Amino acid sequence: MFFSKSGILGINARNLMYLRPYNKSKSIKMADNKLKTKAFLSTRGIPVPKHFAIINNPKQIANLKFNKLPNGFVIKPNLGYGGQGIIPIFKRDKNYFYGANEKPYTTEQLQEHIKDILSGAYSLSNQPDIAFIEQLITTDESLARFSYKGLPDIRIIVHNLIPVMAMLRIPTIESGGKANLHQGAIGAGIDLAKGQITHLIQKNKIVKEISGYGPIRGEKIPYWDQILEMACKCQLATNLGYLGADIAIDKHYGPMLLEINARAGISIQLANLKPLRTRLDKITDVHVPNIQKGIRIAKDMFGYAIEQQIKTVSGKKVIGLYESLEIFNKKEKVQATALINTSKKGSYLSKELAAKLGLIKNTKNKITVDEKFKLKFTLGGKKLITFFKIMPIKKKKYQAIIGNRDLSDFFLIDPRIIRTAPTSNSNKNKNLLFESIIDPVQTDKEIAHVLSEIKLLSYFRPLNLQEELDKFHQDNSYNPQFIYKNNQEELTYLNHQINKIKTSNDVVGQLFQEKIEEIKLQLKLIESRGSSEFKDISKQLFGLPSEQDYLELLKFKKIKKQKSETILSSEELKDLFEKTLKYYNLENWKVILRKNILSKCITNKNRKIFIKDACFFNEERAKALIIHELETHLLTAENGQKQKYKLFHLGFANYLPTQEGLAIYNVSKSDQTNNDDSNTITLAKAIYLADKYSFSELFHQLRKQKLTNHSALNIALRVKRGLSDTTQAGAFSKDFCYYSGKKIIENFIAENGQLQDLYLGKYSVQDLPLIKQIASPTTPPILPKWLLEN
Amino acid sequence: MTKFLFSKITLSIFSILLILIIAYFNLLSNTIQELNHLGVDQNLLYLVLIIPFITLFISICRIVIGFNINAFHIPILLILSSFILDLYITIFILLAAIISGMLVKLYLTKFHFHFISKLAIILSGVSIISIFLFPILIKSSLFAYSFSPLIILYTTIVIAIIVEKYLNFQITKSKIIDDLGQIFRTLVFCIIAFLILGGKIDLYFFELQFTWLRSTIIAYPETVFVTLLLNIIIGQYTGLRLDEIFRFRKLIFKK
Repeated sequence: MFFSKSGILGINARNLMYLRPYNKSKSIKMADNKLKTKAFLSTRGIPVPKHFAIINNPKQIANLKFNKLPNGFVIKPNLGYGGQGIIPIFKRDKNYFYGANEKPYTTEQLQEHIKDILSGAYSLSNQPDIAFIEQLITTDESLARFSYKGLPDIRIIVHNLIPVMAMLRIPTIESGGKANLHQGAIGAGIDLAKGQITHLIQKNKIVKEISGYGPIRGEKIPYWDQILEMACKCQLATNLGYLGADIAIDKHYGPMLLEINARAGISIQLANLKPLRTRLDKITDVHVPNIQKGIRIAKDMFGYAIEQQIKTVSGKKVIGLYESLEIFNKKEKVQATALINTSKKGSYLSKELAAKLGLIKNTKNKITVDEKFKLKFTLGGKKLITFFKIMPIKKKKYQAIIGNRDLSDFFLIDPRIIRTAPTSNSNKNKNLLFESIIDPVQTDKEIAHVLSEIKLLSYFRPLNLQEELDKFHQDNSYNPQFIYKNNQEELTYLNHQINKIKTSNDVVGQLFQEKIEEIKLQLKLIESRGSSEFKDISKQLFGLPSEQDYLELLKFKKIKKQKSETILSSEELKDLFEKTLKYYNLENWKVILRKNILSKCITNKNRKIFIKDACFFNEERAKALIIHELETHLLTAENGQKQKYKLFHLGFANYLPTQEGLAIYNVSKSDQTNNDDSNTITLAKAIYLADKYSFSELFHQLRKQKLTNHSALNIALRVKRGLSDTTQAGAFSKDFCYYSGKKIIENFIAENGQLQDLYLGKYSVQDLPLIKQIASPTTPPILPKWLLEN
Repeated sequence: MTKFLFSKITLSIFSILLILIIAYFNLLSNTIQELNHLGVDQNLLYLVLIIPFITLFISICRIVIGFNINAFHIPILLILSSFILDLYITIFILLAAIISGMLVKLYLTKFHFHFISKLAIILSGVSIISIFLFPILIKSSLFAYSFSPLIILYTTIVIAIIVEKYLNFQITKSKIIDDLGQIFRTLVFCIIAFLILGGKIDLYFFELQFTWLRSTIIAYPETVFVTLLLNIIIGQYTGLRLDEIFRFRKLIFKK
């Protein structure tokens, strides 16, 4: 009928053709009831915000303890519509709760609001309602960057298990922080295939950029596939044939379902500049067996993936008629819009742009036609160098022309695409309003937080260790099959945390980035426990002894020591430790005797040293322990504490070999015949062998090297951690750091390195030049006594 | 078979047949004539006959044009009261009810009451205020030509319904603007519908009145069935609304 050929879905068509036949009234009733929807969907594996309290009647208002609620929460009416009656609380102090725009509420005001909700002030047709208090979602940084205060959400329309269209609603200054399109929020169309933002609309008009921020076209929405899957799952569960799912992305928990909508609006078509009815018509009859298939269909049919395909086929980048350029002069880069003109041979600049770049002084001067300027610029992500001439005529629409000569090698031109450079105004505001300057101290804090959550070795403790060991004791040719705890949720969380950390471009940022990469690799290692990738990642992370190393290792011979006759008990060792600590003025450290620990001596990050109780140590061993633990690890940790960044204390990327190497070097310097050395060598050998042999073969090989049954088993267990099926070859090579570290330090000394330089904190020798740049104090506050003597 | 019985085409055929039969036997005209003989005022019967037309206008307005107005009882009430009282008095009552209700409501926001009690107080306040309105209405001679005690009752009912419909909203800026917009649109619609249905507007210099539809309806009451048919057609309309054509013009006319 009327304009229906245009393929646009009007309200009439939506009601008659999609809502009436596909959305049964029972399902609609449930979608209107937020609590019911949440309970229903969360039991079906869809993440929803937690609720802290449900208020059914006025009596419960008085019993509601606002003090027990977290600092941020949201009060919502159960049957509310159009976002009315929702009060988000972002923070609070003693007397007030602060909502949007810092509006203060007293407890009484909030209670009054809940009372209003209960009596139906915000529900459809004013029926009595239920109020509930819900977890406040803090938006993920990727979206929070360009949204003003409120909560941006993603609306996805799903029909026949296929996501049909998607839109991101971004709160703006005009909308007062509300993600409501009527009030001036921005609707951004999303490319279903890639999750990229396509067009923007504000108050039914196309806009090119978010005022005060700049263009966001092409920005990617994180967790896109997960979001699509969530939307489809909602439809599968609720049986609403035409469903709008509202999904927000939380900083900590990833995508979360806000609500489902049985009467999804139609302005999504404007945001995408695509008609909905044609899409719906196409997919109504398609048989979709499962969600994955539905998403696949949506991506193939409705994604703008063609550009990408051409690129992969031809190896060339697709650009438009107008493209945004970045031109570099010596100091800065300038953005400009350029006309892509194949009828011109060379490239041109406008006078104004040339003046801006500092190429000519005055725009009014006449410029000879032949004058050329050699400049670097980026076009469509490609860096190019060319000679620019000055444009003879001034144009409003563009400031540069890129001609044939620069285009032919790398680009294909699609005349429909127009990408203009952002206006300079928006750039100015950008800094003020949205752009967060990366604070290295904050980054450091974030990394330290993630580090505190990862206890690397704990992930590698098999759940069935004892049973498998019993089997091994019965039959020494048995290869244990280890099972590990499933930490998937925790890992997803940690991965999310680490991925969102941003680093600056300076030296500190570089060091932090290295650490972040290392943590990512560690997480990957944990994730790959029991899989075939494990040994490769372990090798990447910790290294492996090479064949040459192994030959060298074999040359070492255990030197028979003359054991000194003085034997110290644990208590005596404790006294010795405390004396040493006192010498270095480190009385805030505590020495504790404990029975149930594996090693003889452990230091932890809370300034505690544990010594195994009821043990005996000969004098050399005690000395070595003091040098190793106290005068190396503990001093570097203490010195690191005094630095600006926590990572000095917790360790920069790859600090472990340097630390352990330093400790071993220090011990070996004081006593040539020490036990530390032989342990290191045995472990390195074991790792080399573990990479070649299965568990039982490794055990027998170690036995051949004159190790006792007990220690051979211990070492085999140590280097086979992380594997499930130990018939396979493969090693957990973390302990290789002792040997590799020793070599690193020996090289360092050979190259006239100063040991003092390694005492600023915990970092690797390779990073030393960078560390020196950022360290303050620049000299280690505490040094071991023998270094001071030199 | 059941599918056929409940299909849209069957419904259309049945209704057309029904209308033809009724029209053929002049059932409606005869009944109205009978009522006239019994002494029922023709104008009163006309008011009953125009209700299908008002509802038709409302559905055209909302479904085809996309002009968002209140359905149904407020426009019906306002148009009927324009016929009974006068257009100006109706507008006056509407505005008086809304303004007084809003004032009471604004005052009440400072207190903590149950929502229902708030509404009750507002309604009571408005009805008390309306008592003071009557002397103004009567003395200003607007009531003079057709004053009867029942009209006061009728006016009170109009006020009560208007207040309940409009004043249960929350006092927020955007909500008030939205609702005032809707009141305004409804008023515009009522004035136009009033004119089409043969109402008289006194514009000081001359009187505006179109009597064509009015005389047709009075002469041939069967025209009422036309609205039924049109409603069936509009009820299946799945095209775009006029405002949607405007809203999506960039998508429609992009080629």
